[in-house]
Amino acid sequence: MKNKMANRIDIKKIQCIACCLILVAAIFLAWYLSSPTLHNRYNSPLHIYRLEVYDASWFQKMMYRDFAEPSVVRLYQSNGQKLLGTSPVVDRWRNDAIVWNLDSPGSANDVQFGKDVRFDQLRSECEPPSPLLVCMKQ
Amino acid sequence: MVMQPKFFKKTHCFFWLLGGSAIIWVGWRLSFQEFMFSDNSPHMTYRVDVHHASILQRLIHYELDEPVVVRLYRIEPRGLLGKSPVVDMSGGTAQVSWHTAPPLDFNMVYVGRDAIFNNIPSECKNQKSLPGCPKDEK
Repeated sequence: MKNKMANRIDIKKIQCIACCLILVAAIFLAWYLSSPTLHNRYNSPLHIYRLEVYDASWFQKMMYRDFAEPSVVRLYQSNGQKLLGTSPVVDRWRNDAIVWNLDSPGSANDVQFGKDVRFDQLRSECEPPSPLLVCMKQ
Repeated sequence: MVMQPKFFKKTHCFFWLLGGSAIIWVGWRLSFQEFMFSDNSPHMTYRVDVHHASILQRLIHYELDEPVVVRLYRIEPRGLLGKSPVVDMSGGTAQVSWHTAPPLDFNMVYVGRDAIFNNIPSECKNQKSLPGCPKDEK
């Protein structure tokens, strides 16, 4: 009788542990399939902004199968790591030239990646108060 | 013997799951290295990523003011070429010096004072057409 009880408890425990493991594995798999992997990071000329190019996640690759190099581009403020913008999935193949238009005063600047990605409404790299010597000379 | 209500056993399993995820989360948090900055080599062949040391590494290297970990990547094809131990980057030494292409072609990369990568192939090796690289002799 006692033996039987112990047996039942063990099975419950095994079920519980198995459930935990399966759930953790499922969460990990979902995370793995949905996270883009970093291809490269680029700094803006005065290192104020940072552009990060990612290879698209597995799910995104499945959705855009006609793209040769499906990518996602993110723009960050280097100081403070604030995310300023994320692009949709674009094809990076022969379409990965970066243009930094960050010279004009005010917030009419932009950053372009290839033909498809463009981040607008950016502040100039010399936005006052800027401690950079290059900006003092202007 | 008092019969335990059925839901208790389910909650029990739930707590197992919660405890397990808490342990995973704490482990991840203790070993997480927050991104600090990155820099590209003059001809975009390599990239250096500097991360803040994790909480565990900070505890081990408590004598350092600003412990960081530096990694050197090759961009195409993607690969990790080197990883520094925990080094100090306090006192405005967050400078990356690339000695991988003329006029400083010594197959080395210095990050700050203490992180040094040796035997890094020159950037001229793959891209002979780069400005400043010695031309092929025929």
